[in-house]
Amino acid sequence: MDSMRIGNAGPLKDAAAEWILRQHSAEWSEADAMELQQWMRASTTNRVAYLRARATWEAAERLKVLGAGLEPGVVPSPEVLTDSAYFNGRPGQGDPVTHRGLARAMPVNWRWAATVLFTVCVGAIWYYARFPANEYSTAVGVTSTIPLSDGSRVTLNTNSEIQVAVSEAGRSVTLEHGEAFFEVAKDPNRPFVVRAGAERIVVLGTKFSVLRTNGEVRVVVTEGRVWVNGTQIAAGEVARSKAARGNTPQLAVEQRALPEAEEMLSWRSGFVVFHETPLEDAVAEFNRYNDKQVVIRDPRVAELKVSGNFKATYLESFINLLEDGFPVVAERHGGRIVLTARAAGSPKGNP
Amino acid sequence: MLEPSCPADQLDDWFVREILVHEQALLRFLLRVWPDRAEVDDLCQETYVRVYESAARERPTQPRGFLFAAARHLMIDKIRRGRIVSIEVMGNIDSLNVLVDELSPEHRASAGQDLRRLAQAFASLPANCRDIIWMMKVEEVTQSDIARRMGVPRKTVEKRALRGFRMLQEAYFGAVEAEMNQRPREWTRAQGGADRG
Repeated sequence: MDSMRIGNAGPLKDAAAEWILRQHSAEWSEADAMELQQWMRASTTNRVAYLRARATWEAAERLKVLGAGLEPGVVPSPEVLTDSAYFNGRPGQGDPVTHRGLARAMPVNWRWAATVLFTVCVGAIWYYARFPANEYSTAVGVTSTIPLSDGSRVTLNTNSEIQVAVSEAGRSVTLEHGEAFFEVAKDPNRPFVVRAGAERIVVLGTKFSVLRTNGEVRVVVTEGRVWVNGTQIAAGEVARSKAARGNTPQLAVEQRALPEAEEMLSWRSGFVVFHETPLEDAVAEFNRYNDKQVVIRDPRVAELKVSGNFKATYLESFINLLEDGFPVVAERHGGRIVLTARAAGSPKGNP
Repeated sequence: MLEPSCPADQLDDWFVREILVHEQALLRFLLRVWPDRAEVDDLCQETYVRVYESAARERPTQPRGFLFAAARHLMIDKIRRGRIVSIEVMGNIDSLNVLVDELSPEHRASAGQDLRRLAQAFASLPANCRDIIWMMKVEEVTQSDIARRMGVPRKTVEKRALRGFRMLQEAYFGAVEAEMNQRPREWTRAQGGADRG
């Protein structure tokens, strides 16, 4: 393999371009051809650079297409070239016919569409009247957005479940487990209440998320403000509440930068974000999104710090990266991945 | 260099057709992932070398995927060798899975799109280089005749032709120059990440 020197690419491309120009000049000789062959054999780097230059040269052959019909000696201006009729579709391709055809077909289609729509609506009304759809849940690794009848939207994170009761009388959602992000439509007359275990979050209209896990409830506000058990939490603030057995829950509020708060909700686009996060916590986060669970067997491994954005469901890639970049070995045992420290002097092989 | 086990011409054509067409996507990927922009051209080139040499032994069935995988492995090798172990870079490299599909629109450009790309690349050249390339390629005038016609020394024509052709190449294949210069770095290089914990 050729060794690479930084800054090599530029001069090499120059050399390759020069070969091509010489090759297509009047002075090109047998001896030159031999020399070129030698140059190309000298390294794959040379050969590849030459191929790239040659491909451009051959592609430029097609400039003749653009030059067709022009006086010799006239070089078209950039505007003429890029606005050429070649690129603006072929004229006279009977658009009006298509339109007329559509117009004639429309009434028939409309009648069908209306009939189908009506049937679907009646069916839906009947169905929802009999079975109010007020329970929603997601499987592991899945997120889902649910529009509510008041115009609010709830996005469920992995492995989560909510009960929804929205009516004229009031709006309430119970988070059974997992995490949900709420975009609440403003309605001063109907407070929106989220219950998560012992916590009661009340809002009028705003954006926030609620996470309920291991007896802890975490509320992240990204817009407006909410009231958690009567305490006001503003945008950029994170409230944590852990219910100790038998005691009233204690609420701890942290001030974060808004982007940081937003980042805690990056799961909505399928990512988890770490900043110098202990591997222990990062792994716990991955375990939420994947059936396959990761276990850390070594406190040194648990303390490693990781940073970066990762696709929450690409567990294997994350593990491979850990092995690539850290002194960590992963062993797969059925549905589990066990992480241990790599012994010094036993580097992992090339991928 | 390895002696190819199949006719070199076939391999060369395959390389141009199946690998070089992805240059823009590859550059974009490298730019997004690699901390040092100045090294991206070299990374691209070395990736090509790896792919070419590997294809000389055995032609990959999924050229595009193979190209990106080669780029990824190359970067990982570099990170190891350089002890620039940043999980952040690694994380970015691994976004490859997402990126390959995301960056694929130019995959099979139609002949029309290809011509347009060429026209745009050509139009982006400085006027004096453009004229020379045009005369050479379209009117097939020799460099000496161009020099006579324009009333400049032959050396000047050579220089401008070379410069124009080089620019045409970059504009035609890469065309991410503007992005390279505009895009702010999203993150910085971290040193010795493995030892941080």
